Amino acid sequence: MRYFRLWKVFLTNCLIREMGFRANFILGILGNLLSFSINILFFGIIYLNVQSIGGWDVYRTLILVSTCQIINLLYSALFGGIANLTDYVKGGSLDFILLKPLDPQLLISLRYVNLQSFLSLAFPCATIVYVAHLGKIAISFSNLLLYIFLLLCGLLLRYALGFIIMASSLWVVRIDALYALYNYIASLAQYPMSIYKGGVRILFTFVIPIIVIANFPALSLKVSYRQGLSFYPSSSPSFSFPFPAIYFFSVFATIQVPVAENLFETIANTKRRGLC
Amino acid sequence: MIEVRNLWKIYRTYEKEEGLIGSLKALFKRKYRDVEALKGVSFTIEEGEFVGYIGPNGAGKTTTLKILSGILYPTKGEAKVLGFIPWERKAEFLKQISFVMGQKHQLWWDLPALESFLLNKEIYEIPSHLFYANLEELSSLLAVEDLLKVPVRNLSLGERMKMELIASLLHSPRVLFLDEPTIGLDVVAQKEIRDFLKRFNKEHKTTIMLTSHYVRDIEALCERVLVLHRGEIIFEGSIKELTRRYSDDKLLTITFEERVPDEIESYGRLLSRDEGKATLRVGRDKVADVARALLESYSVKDIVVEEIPIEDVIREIFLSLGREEDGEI
Amino acid sequence: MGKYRKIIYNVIQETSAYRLNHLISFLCVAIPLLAIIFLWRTVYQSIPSIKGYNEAMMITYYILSTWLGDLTGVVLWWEITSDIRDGNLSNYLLRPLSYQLYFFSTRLGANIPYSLIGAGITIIFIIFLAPDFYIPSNPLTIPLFLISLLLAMLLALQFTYLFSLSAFWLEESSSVNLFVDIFIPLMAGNLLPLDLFPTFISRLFKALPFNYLLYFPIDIYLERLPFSSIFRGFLVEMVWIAFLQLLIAVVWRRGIRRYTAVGG
Repeated sequence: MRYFRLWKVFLTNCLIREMGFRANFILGILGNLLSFSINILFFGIIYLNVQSIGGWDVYRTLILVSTCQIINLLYSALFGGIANLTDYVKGGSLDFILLKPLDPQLLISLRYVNLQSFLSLAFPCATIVYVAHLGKIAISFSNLLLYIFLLLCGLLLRYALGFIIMASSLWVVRIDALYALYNYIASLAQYPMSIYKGGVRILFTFVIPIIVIANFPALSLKVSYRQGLSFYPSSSPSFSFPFPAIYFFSVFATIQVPVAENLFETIANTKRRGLC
Repeated sequence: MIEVRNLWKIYRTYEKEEGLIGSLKALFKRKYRDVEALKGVSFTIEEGEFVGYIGPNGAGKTTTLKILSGILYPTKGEAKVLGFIPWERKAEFLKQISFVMGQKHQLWWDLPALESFLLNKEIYEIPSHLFYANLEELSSLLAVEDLLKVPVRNLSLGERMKMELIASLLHSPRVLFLDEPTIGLDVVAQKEIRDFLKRFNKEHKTTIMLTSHYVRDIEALCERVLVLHRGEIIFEGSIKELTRRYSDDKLLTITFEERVPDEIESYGRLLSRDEGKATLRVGRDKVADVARALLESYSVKDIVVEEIPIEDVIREIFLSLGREEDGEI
Repeated sequence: MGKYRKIIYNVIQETSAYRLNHLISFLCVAIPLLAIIFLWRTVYQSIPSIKGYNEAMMITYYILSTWLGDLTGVVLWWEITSDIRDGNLSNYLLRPLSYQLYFFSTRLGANIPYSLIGAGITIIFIIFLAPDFYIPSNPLTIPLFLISLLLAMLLALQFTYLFSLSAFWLEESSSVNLFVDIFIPLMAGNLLPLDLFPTFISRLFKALPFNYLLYFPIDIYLERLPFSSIFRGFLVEMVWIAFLQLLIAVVWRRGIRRYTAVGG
C-alpha cells in the first residue's frame, strides 16, 4: 500500500513534467507508433512472399511482435529509470538516494515513469486483438490469464537482465555503450525463436535468456481456429504444456533477480567504502 | 546525540591506464593508491547543539558528514548518531536525520518544489497534518509561500536553496547535517538562511552540524567549532577561544591630520595605507605603547583598535600548519 | 583543400580515442544483423527466391546495408543544429571557410574510421556466418559500385546538411528527427530491398532520391542491373545532387538572413 502510494507520486511527478513538454510528448508516442508499425510492415511484407517462417504463420508472428512491443513498452514505462544508474553512481545523486529511508534499488528502478510508453501500449494491444480477429483465432479466458502471467515473467526477466548489464557497466567505467548494447540485444526477442540455431540459440536462451521473454507468452496462446477457415493451421506451433515455460521462467527469475539485487548492493557498498 | 570515536576513512583510487589494452588490463589487475581522508577523528555533540566544522578543502569535512549520515562506511572507528550506527542505514535512523548539500540538489529541476515535497512526504511517511503544518511554518519562515508552485528551474539560486532546506526539514529531523548551505549565494540570501537556521535550531532543538566556506556563517551560528586539518581535529572550542589561542595581534587603524608618515612601518606590520589612513598589525601587549608613541610624534585625528577578522585568523592557522594552497578555507 | 584535410585528420584522431566504445557500438550493429540473417535463412528454407533475390543475395544485401549504414546514412547533425540555436554559427561565418565544406569534412572524419573498422568486422562476420556472401562475377562491377558509393556518400552529406539547416526555422527538431530516423531508412532500403514492397510503393520509392543512398549501390553490387540502367541511374542521381546543391544554397541564404535578423 505504501509502495503504491509512493509510485502514485512518482507518476504524478512525471505527468506534470511531461505535460510541460507537450509537443515532445505527442511526438514520443508517434515515434513509438511508427517504429512499431515498421516492424509490423517488415514482417507483413515477408509474409506476402512466404507462408511460414520456421513454422510460424503470419498471425502468430504478429502476435509475437506485438507481445514483444508490449514488454518493451512496459519495461521503459516502469523501469526506464535504471538507464540513469550510471549517472547516480558516477555523479553524486547516489548520496541522496542512500539518505532516504527506502530501498535504493526500488527508488532507482521506479523513479521515472514514462507515460509515453504507457499510452503507446494501446497500439500493440489493439494489434493483437485485430490479428486475432483477422486470423479467426479464439483465445480462451484461462489461456489469456496464462499469457498475461508469462508476459509479466518476461517483463521481470527483461528488467533483471537490464539491471545486471547496467550495474556491470559500472565496473567497466566509461562504457555507457553497454546499456545501448542491451537494447540491441533485446531486439532479438521479437523474432520467432525457431529461427535461431546452434550456439547463438543456446547463448540467448540460457546465458542471456532474451529470446524467450516474448516467445514464451506468444507460444502459450493456444490457438483454435474457428470454423475451420484457417489457412495453415498445422504450421502454427504452440506449447501443449505451458509448464516448461513457467518452470523456465521461475528458475531464471529466482536466479537473475537476486543476482541483480546483489550486484547493486555490492556496487553501492564498494562506493560507500570508498574503494572505487 | 552524536558520538564519534577514532574515525578513519581511507579512499582507494585507481590509476587508470590508457587505451583499450590498458582498460582491459585494469579489469583484472588494478594499480591503486590510498588516500587518508580521516585519521582518527573523535568528538561528541550534545542534543540541540549547533556545531561548526571548519577546515581547508580536502580536510575531510564532507567525508565526516557522509559517514555520520550513513552514506559512507568508515574504514575504522566507531560512531553513534541518535543511538544508531549510521552506516547500517536503518529506516528509523534515516527518518530522523537530514543532509543538505549546497552543491547538489535533490529537487527535480522541471517540477514545482511542492511536488518534490509531496514525494518526500511519502518516502518519509509523514502524516498529512504534520506535513502541511511543517510546510506552512517553514515556507513562511523562509518567505517562499508564493513560490511553491513555480518550477524549480525558474527559481533564483537563493530561493532554490531555501526549497532544498524545506525539503530536508519537512520530516522534522532531529539531526541536520549542512554542507556548505550558503555556497554561491548573494549576501542577502546568505543572511536570510543564516537567520532561519538560527531560529530553527532554537525553536526545534535540532542538533545541527555545519560546514561552510563563509566564516561569517560559523561566527553567527555556532557556539562551538571543530577545526579539521588533513583528517585530524586540531581545535575544539568556541570561536573566541580560537581567536585568542591562535592570534596575539590586534589591528590599529590610524587617521592622520596630514599624509601618512613614511616611518609608519617601524611601528608594526603595515597592512594598508592610503592618503591619510593606515592600518597596522601590532602585538596585543604592545598596542598601548604604539598608540602612545604615535600620538606623541604626529598629529593624529583618530585611532581605532580592533580584533583581527576571524577569516584572517583561520587562514593564518592553516597557512602556518600546511602548504600555501591549503590556506583557503 | 589543406585545411579541410586537417579537419578530417583531427576528427579521425579524436574518434579513435574511444576504441572500446567503438567495439561495443559495432556489436550494437552486429547483433540485429545476426537476427536478420537467421531470419532470412529460415525464410529461404521454404522458397528458393524472392523477387529475384536468392538466399546469398539477400544475406549480402543486409550485410552491405549494415556496413554502409553509417557511410550513407542521413542523420540530423546535432552540431549544426546547436551551432545555429546557440549562436555559435557566427564564429564560422567570420572565418574564411565554407560551413558546408567544414561540416562535410567533420562528418567524413567521424565516419571514415568507423567504416574502416566496420569493414574489418564485416569480413570476420562474413567468414563465420555468411560464407555464401555474393562476389560479383563481372570485374567492372566493383568500380561501378565504388562510384555509386561515392555519389551516395555525397548525397547523404547533402541530405544531412539540408535537414540540419531546418534548425534556422525550428526551435525543436523532434519531428524532423522522426522523419530522418524512420522514413528515410525505409525509403532508402534499409528495412527491405525496395523490390519486395508492393509494386506501387516500390515504384514510388525508386522514384525518390533516397534509394540512391543504399538500394541502388547494393543493386549494382549484386549485378541485378544492366549497364544501361546503371548509367541512367548515375545520371538521375547527379541531377538530384545538383538540384540539392541548389536547394542548399537557397535554404542557406534564407536561413542566414533569418539568423542575422534574429541577431543570433
